[in-house]
Amino acid sequence: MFKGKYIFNPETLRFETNNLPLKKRLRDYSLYLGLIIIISIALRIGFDNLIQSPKIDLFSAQNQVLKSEYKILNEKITKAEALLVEVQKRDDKVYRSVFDMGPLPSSLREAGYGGSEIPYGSLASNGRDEMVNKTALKLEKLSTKAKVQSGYLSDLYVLAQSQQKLIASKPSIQPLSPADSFRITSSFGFRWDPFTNQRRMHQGLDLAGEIGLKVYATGDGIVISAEDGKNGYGKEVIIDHGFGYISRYAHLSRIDVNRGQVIKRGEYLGRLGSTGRSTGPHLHYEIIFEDKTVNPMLFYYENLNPIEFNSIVAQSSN
Amino acid sequence: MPRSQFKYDPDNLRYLKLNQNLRSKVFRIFSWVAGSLVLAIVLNVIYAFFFDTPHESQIRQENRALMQDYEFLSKKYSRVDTVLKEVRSIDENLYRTIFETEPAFRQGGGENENISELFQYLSLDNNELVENTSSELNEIHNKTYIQNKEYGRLMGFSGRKADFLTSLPGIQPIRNQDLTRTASGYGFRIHPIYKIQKMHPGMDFTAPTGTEVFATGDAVVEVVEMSKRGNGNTIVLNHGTGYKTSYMHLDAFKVRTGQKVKRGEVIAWVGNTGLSVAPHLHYEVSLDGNPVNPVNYFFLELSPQSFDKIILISIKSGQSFD
Repeated sequence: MFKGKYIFNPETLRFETNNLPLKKRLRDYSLYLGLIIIISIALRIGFDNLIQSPKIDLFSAQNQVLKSEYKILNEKITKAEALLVEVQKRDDKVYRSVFDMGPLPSSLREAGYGGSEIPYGSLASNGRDEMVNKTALKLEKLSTKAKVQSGYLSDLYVLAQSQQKLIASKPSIQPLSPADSFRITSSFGFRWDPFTNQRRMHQGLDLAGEIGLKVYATGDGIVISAEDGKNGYGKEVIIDHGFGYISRYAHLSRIDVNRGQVIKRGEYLGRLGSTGRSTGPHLHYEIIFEDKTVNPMLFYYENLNPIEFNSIVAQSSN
Repeated sequence: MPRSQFKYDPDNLRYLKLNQNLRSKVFRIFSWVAGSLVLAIVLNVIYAFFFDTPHESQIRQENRALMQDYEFLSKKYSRVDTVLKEVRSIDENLYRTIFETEPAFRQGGGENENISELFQYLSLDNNELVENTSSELNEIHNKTYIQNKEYGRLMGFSGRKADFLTSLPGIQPIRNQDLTRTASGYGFRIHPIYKIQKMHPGMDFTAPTGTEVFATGDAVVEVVEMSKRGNGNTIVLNHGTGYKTSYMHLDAFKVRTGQKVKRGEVIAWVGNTGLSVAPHLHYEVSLDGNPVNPVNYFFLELSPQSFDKIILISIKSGQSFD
């Protein structure tokens, strides 16, 4: 600004450069800088109050975006909650009914949530923002309910699987085909023996028929005996079905399975005969539950026609 | 500036006196102020770039906190969503195990499913199933139409219209407004024990042991039979006009043979007796000795949409309970 300036020095009568001494110049410059800073600060404060800085605009925009993301998250949580409620309803009304359990008390479904507080301290916003708090709370509740529901349903599923196994294993068909002719000549329980004038307990069911009629396993299981046990039953097959059930097929004319063999319902095991202590060709069929003989008639029903029975027989070889 | 200022003119080798008039003074001061202003603004911008005002700083913090929390909650939601997917999967597997069919609920099916939606869903699974279902559906619709005409004819002949109407089976035999207890319907189904296709001549309703069973129309109790085999404990009601209804696998009876009952009266409680895999009611309707589809006999209770829905549920349920 002052460059190239000369002043007339009246004492030396010469034109001299108007250079201010360094100190003076420094003082001038620092005054100048000071002035600029003061103006800057004034401007800053002034504008801060009057005009939205672009940074604040940016932050506000970001803030809006965040809030709408929270809204979306909240909607997702609400939808998930509704889905869970539907599962719970089905659980109570259908599944638990099928397994003969009463509906789960709602206190158990909400278990573990009760008095526990959502730890706002672990949130960066530290409980200050209402939207965040609401979302965190909803999410915590949902999380607990989901875990609890998952546990109960898994238990039911395990139960369902084991029930399916029971259904397949427990004797549920007759040991002779409905296409063959046979008659029940002696049923289970006490009967009057006309020759000895005594009551005798008949431990099974006698099905009289032609020698050679095919005999079938009445439930899935493992063959634990396949021979003449020299106990009056003649040639017999005994199957262990698990769940406490054992079935016995006695007085057979021939056995066509081996001990230790895995066998399925409807699988052929041997033929009707008259071996052992038998007065005529018949199949003696017994069912033992937890070491006690029970009435085999409770373990099948005559609602299978020959075609349907054959389907079961055919299925056993799959 | 008390002393005059001179400028050196190199071309003429002379010193020129600078004009110190007011205008140039003002100009100089003005440019000096303007320059300071510009510099101030520039400094401001640079400063603003690197630093925040307290207000800005606050909002920035707030945003950061919101963002952090959002990420945290988002991650947590993902974990919960995984658990929920597991829940849905077990739910569907349980349904399949019990009903031997693909579940129709999937993603939160509400109460407003109409037939076309459910049909769309069916067509995702199995062409054969769709064909069978739609033909069964047509059959039922046709039969219903015929039945309605029958009623009209019968009513025309009967002098005692009121009695005829109240004796007709017309409601569901257990409380089932929301249709969640509807299980396997009339027709060929997989038998739950034999695991083969077998004619299922009635309709199953799954319900806990002890659920009340209602007479579905005014009738006289014809049969009350206790049994541990086959159909288990059974009640047969005779409604006159050729209709009879049967209720099987009951837990206990509330009526005796010969007793007169009215529609809606409790006659027994649901059980699991006889050849049954779970507590449920097996309900049959017969006309002149022939079993007919019970689903046509809920017209006094169900809206048209519910009717459509119950048909579909009962058809889709692939495995009966008995």
